[in-house]
Amino acid sequence: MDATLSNFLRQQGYALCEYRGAGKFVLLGEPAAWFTEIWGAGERGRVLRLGDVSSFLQSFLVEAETFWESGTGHELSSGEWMENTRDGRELPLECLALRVDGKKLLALQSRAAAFAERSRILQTARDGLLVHERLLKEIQKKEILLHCIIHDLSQPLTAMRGCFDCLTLEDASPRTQHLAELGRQQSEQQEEMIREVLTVFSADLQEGAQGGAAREQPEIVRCATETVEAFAPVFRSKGLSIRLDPRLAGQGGWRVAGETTRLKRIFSNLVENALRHSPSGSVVTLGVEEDGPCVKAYVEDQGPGLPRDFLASSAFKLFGKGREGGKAGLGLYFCRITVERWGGSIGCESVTPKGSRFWFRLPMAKQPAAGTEKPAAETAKSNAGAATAVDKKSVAALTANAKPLRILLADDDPAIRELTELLLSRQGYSAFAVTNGQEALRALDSYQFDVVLLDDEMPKLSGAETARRIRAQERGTGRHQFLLAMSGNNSEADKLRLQQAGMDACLSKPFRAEELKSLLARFSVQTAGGSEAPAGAPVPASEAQSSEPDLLARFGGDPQLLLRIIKTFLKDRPKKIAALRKAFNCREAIALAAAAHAIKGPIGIFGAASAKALAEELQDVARQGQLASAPELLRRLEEEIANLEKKLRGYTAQASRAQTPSGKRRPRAKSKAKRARAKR
Amino acid sequence: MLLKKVCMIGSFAVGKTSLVRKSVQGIFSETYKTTVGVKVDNKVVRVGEKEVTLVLWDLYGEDKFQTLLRAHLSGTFGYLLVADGTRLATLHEAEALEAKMRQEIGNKPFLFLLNKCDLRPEWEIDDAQQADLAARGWEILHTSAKTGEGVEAAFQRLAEQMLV
Repeated sequence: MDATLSNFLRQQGYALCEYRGAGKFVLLGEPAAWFTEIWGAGERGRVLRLGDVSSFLQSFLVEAETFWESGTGHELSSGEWMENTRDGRELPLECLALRVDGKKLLALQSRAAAFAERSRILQTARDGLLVHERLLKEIQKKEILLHCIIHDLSQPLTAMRGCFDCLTLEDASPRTQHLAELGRQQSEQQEEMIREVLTVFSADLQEGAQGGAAREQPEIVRCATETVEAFAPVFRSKGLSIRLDPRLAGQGGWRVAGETTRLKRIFSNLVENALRHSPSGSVVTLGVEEDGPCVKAYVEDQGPGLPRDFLASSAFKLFGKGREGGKAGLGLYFCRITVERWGGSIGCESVTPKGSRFWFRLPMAKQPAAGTEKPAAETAKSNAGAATAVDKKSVAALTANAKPLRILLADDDPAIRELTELLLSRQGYSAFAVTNGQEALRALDSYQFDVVLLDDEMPKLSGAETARRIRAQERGTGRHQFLLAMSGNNSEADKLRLQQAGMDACLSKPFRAEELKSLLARFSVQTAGGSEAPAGAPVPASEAQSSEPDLLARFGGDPQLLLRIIKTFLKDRPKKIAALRKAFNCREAIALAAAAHAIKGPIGIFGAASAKALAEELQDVARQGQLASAPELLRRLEEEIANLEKKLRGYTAQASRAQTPSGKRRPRAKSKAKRARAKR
Repeated sequence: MLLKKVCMIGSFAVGKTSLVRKSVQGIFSETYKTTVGVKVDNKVVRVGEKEVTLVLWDLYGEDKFQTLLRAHLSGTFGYLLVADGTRLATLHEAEALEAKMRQEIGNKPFLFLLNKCDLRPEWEIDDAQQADLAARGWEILHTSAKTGEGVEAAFQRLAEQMLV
């Protein structure tokens, strides 16, 4: 080899070898310094067996020989690999197989400089990816944790505030009043702290719920497309397919409330869920369609579908198991809280012939006219603020002739339920309490109510979903049930979400008695059509004009509901009677009034008018501290309650006899309301 | 002596290099240093009466920045497919890589290593998913390059599979 060329190659860090067959190479010219550091000092014309000294080259030479023999192609690269020097340092090398003038050459080069730069770039990129992954996970965990903390902190605080409010309403000593006021102030302080946390939470993590969501307005079809692209390799490797719904061709351009990263995460979580339940050879389809003022997206699989008794809402609960258990259930829970925070809803259902569909609905982003853009938070505030954010026309129409309201209260927390009932009754309203949205819907099937108070988060059916169903049933009927949300999630976005679900107003938990009172005062109204339904017990929907105290009719012909309420009443009755007696024996007038009140509601529900009147009278005299007539009133009240109990037990026994020997109930006729619903 | 080329395959940062280093040198480092290019090490294991030298090709993790070269896979007798138990995405990537390996080198023995079992409370890959893989014929081992759990067993088991 020419000496100049040899020196040039050495300076460039090359070692050039010519292949002589049978694994033998001859070094051409002087090799670069690194060569000797790895394989020793080479001599001109020295024969080398590179395959013997390097496992990597041994493998590459098989490829190189094929390349040399084929006569096609200009060069073959080995790619980078590492060799150790004799003193243990790692050196990055690259090898090129070449054909030059019929010679089979191997050019080995140290890639130290380029390698260092490439390593640095790749290290930075991959570190960044890992940090990004961790951050996304942390954000998801943090969102869930904070959501739970806020909710759990608000719940007992509501009860505490209710207790203090009740105490201040009592005819208590100045000392007690003072202590109650102190407690109320402290609970207010704590409430303020929770609100601050929520504000930070909203601003920091839930940008999407406020200004960020309105600013970004992600294009939902694009997010779905990118999700399909990201998951395609995984699906292929499992023998599955993932696709966009073909009906989406040419569609799109829908922008929704939300934020791109989280929206894609929602799609990904739903796709991962579908992946877990898809049999080999099946197809998972992502679709998007317009749905009124919203856009509905879905992920549909061809798996076994949802179990028959599967409660759709349970899939999206914290730690709720999916269809067959398995993962901890954070993914779907994340989907739910994110979608709801953006004012949307989420659900799932089985599809025919088989498979399931997980969907979510998001409000379509409105294109603001120039100069009229309003921050989302401001819109939310003006639309859904407590007490002020109500359908004003409706309120104006309702506030004309105030009358005691019949109120349906749905809250899963027994303490809050009891306290709210107490506050309502103290303010002269008639309350009927249930523990979840499903029970609320059943009660509405059976009774008429003026106002429905719905807790936001309840098992089985949330307040928001209950509102949606009520509004769906009302569609085209001209009816409008007044719905009031009670929520510990107090952000403006939460209020907007509740309003979009169909709530007329939102009462932030923990609420004060005055807030509840002033809000309900706006709804006080004569019953529709001027019917004079008695205050106290709810009026059976099927017999709204009837005053017949027929027991079953009062429960809309639903014996199961009646039996359940009877069971609760009979279970609680001894406790309530004991409370009455204890208060009376101790001459505790306030406690006696409270105990009389506590029993008044339940007996009123069963239409026991005389018992209820006695309870009211006892409550009144106790409130006034005039206990002279109390013994007689209490005796008569106990007699009436005993009569009622006898009647209820008789009904229960009759219902038991009506059961078949196997314990199964006979089929019963549908109630009027149910028949009407079935017709619809 | 028998020589068998074994490739370490998996997404980036799942611990392929750490598993090799732990096995060959007995070293573990908490610092993540990305692999660029290929590192080759030898490890001798005994299978019954036979001594087998595993020529371990520690390949860089495939991602959007680097894809595996076909040349690096030729001559492979078996491979260890590695995923990080704390990152669900690496399982999906492992599934895609297994399909790619089947396409490139045919059905060769492999073990699926769910690495980082010292961080098991943080795992995102659950039993149901593992059962699904097992039903597809994947042999799964839990490993930790940090504690050494399952590391020797993984190389030993793969060597046994390759000699069947």
